[in-house]
Amino acid sequence: MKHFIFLMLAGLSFNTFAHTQSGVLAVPVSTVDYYYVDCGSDPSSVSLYFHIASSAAAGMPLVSAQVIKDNYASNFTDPINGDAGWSRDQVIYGGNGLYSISVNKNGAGVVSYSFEAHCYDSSGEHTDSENIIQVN
Amino acid sequence: MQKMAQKLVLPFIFFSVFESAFALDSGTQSLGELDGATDYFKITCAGNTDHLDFQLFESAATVLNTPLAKPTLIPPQILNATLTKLKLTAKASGIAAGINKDVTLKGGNGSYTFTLDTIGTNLTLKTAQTYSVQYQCLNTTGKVTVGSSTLTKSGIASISKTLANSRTVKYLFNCAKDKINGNTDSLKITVINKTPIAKTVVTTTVTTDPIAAPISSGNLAAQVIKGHVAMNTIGDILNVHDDRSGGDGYYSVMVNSPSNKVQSYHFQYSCLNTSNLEEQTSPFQLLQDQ
Repeated sequence: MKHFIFLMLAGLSFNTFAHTQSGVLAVPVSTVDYYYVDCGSDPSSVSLYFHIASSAAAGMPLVSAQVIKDNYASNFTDPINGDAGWSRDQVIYGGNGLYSISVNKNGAGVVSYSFEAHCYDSSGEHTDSENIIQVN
Repeated sequence: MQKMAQKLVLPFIFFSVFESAFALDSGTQSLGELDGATDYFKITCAGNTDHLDFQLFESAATVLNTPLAKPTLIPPQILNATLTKLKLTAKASGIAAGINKDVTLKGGNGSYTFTLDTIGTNLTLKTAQTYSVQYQCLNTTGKVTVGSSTLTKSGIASISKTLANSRTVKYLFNCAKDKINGNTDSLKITVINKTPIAKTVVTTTVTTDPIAAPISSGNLAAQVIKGHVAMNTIGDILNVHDDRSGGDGYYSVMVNSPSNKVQSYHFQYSCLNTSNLEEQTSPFQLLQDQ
């Protein structure tokens, strides 16, 4: 019964938590959008999958994101604005808990973006975590 | 990548230059070629810190925005004196500011040519040198004989003259037989270099300090996070102020390159109170060096 409930929740989470977050960075180069991705609500979560894409026009600043967990940080940049491609993607094995995401750009101008973040367990299965919290 | 240096920059230098103090602490790092490379630091502010000022510099150039003064003795300005009569020559070289030197030539009665030049002087000092000349024609026992010159009378210092760098000046002196002391044996000329001694004994020297010009190329970016506040810079000074949790505590700093450019860089930071005065700024803690 216990396993059945877990599988039901797991199946629900697969359908519900395909998390994509969109945002718009304002003109100043100092602007950063800051998020938490919660991989802690499911104790089995051990990693976070992440990538980001910019929908800005060519010639606009490049959009980057930094994923931070404890003493680890990594940068993700979409090298081409406005195309269908994403930044590199990476599974970050930072363990259970909150992952911080900061989104910045390398110049002044309004740019829009979206990123995907998914929490996984040790066997590579999607967990029912990854609630995205916008900090600022 | 390899940590290159971490040091304290003397705060009084900056206090003396800027009313709003900045950059008590600084560091120099290099970002490597790893895809997504990010250097990650923590800065701790204490006391009554209100905000953190942070600035990122590209370190590729050796251009300095804060040249440091390095004590160096300035070579003196000098005059050289040459006294000639036919094939006879006597010299007195390197007559520095504030120094008197004699030049004597045993040429007997007749006309002498006296030359002053500035060969070997310190050309970084542009001020013309000031000098005065005094002369006497003397017999073999050192008694004064007859002398004449358009410059001054025998035994009396001339009025002050000036000589610019790389210039030469010549004067003529005549010595003759004296009714009492007999023939002239030699002409003695005293050169008095009246040029003020350079008071500045320190020159500003460009050092190899890694401080460089602020970047604006967008090849590097730094993010500073405190509490719910997150800011980004590609060279401008960031003023990171967290009005919810206050200025004390940890600031997270990340440096990365959107183009994955291998790049050394320098950064400066300072914990400041509401009056922009220095509070307790600690050396940064390097959490990740990529």
